[in-house]
Amino acid sequence: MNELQPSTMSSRKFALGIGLFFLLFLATLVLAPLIGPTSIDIGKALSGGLDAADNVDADILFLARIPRILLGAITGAALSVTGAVFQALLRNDLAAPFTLGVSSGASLGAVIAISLNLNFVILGISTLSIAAFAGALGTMFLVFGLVKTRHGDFPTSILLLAGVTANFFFASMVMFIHYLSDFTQSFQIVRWLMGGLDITDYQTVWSICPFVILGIGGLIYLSRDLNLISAGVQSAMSRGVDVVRTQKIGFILASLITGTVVAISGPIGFVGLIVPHIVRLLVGPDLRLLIPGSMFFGASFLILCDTVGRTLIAPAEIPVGVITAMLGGPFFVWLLKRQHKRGNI
Amino acid sequence: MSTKTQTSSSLMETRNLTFAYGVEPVIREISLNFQAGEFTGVIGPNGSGKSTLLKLIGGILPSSPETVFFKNRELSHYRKKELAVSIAWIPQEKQMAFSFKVIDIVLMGRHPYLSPLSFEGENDYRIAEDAMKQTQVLEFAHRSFNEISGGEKQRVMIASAISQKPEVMLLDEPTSALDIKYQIEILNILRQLNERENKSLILAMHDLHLASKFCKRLVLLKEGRVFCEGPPSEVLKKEILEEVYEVKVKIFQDDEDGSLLVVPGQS
Repeated sequence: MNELQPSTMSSRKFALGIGLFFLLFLATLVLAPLIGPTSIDIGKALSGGLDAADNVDADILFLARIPRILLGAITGAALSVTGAVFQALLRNDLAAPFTLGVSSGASLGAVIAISLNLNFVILGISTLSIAAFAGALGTMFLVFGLVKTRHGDFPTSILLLAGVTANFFFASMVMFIHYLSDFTQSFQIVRWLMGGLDITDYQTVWSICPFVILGIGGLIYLSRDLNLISAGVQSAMSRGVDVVRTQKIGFILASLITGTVVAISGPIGFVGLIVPHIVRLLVGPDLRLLIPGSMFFGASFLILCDTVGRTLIAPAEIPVGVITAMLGGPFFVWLLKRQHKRGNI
Repeated sequence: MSTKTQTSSSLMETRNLTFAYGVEPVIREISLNFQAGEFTGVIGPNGSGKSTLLKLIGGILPSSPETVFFKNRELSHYRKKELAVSIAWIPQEKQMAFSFKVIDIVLMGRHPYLSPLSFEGENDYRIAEDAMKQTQVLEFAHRSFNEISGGEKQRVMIASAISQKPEVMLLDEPTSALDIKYQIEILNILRQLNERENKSLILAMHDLHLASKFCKRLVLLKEGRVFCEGPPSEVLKKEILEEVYEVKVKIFQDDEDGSLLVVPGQS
């Protein structure tokens, strides 16, 4: 009894793990706003004495950096949690919103919305978000429907091919729509497709928060069911997991949060692949730790990538998607090679 | 045995069960009764439907209405967790996608007893520990499941099922990929579960000698149908096996325990 308890999953270990990831996140959140191409005087920025128009330091901090960092945190958290959940549901560590084509599905949805001039807000939700969500969800069902075998398996090679195919197909659809659109729309589409976290209003940040929180909360609620599924679908059934229901809810919530952040930040690749891996190496595959861990670590990760993007060749900026792709490409190759060695592909 | 079947109400029952993955049925009109405390082996050639039958009985595959019953109630009328504390299905051991620790796998057996967001408590750990002692896997509780041997993996899977505390355990070819030492080890563990704790066991097996040595009752399948069933001595007969397996056989009897050894005869 006593020899089993300490090193396995208990509420204490859970609290400790989450606490550490949270501290990392907090540290990133505090330090990142201080770093940038223009050095700012934080004391001056925070002193309320000056008139807003005169306080350049405060402008840079509150209007340029902080909203961007908050958006980075939400986007990073959402994409990383989605990656962790996809990997569990498909029992495959190559799965991620980007590699499965779900991000490009969301992109297509958003681009269609832009081209139809549907860019407005209903009940506080932008139609862009709704279209991106629909795109993500549609892709998910398409890809999984194609790949799923009668035994409920998702063979790695077919899954990846389906993801690549979906990516190519949606990319060509986007190009086609782009080709047909007028100048203003075209500019909007290009701007959106480049991806990025450079927003200057808090409204956008707050508007996507509820969906991401709801989605991640729901996935945390399902985390032990997801654990059992990640260890084997049929075993999970035998242990009392409603596998079909869990898969459905899991896929829908994952699409919801992917669509929500992709609609705002554009396609940012590989975050959902890299982050769950690193967190899994640190804390193991238990999703009760992996999901919240990926949430905090993913938030920090994307903030850091964006900070590098903002400062590396200042005053010019590298879009954050470029940074993540440069890290993610080689990482994906390494994973592929590892799976190949194990004989999975 | 047959008189007993008719007088006592059965623990598990299939009535005219048919199942197809696609068009061609792999299980055809199977009606079987399983009593509490039985040790049954399901045997038959490759593709005869052994694994599929077990999955249908275990609720892993969907069965049509009015075909599979546990305690006279249809399987689909049970809630998932309710069924999980009654019937455990144990797959053939295999590599997992993620490196869970042995103890994590065993604790997964406690899932039907836990509510969402709750963690395994002291009681769950004690049950898991007992199960691991029973199958002699406690010493590698903290090893990664993917790093232990095939025989050890199978014992971990059984420990996980034991901590589920079911009445019936269904095992899909628990010994087929293992060396003889591990085969005997695992079947002895199962025999203990059957004799000491009165667990009902149904095993899909292809080793006929081991089936006759450990099982008290055999069900022989051919092309998705029950060809015959009964005690090993009545099922493992030359003329029956030659028809089902389509090969000449010779049958020898072990003088010590009366188990039967089936070997290919002249072709």
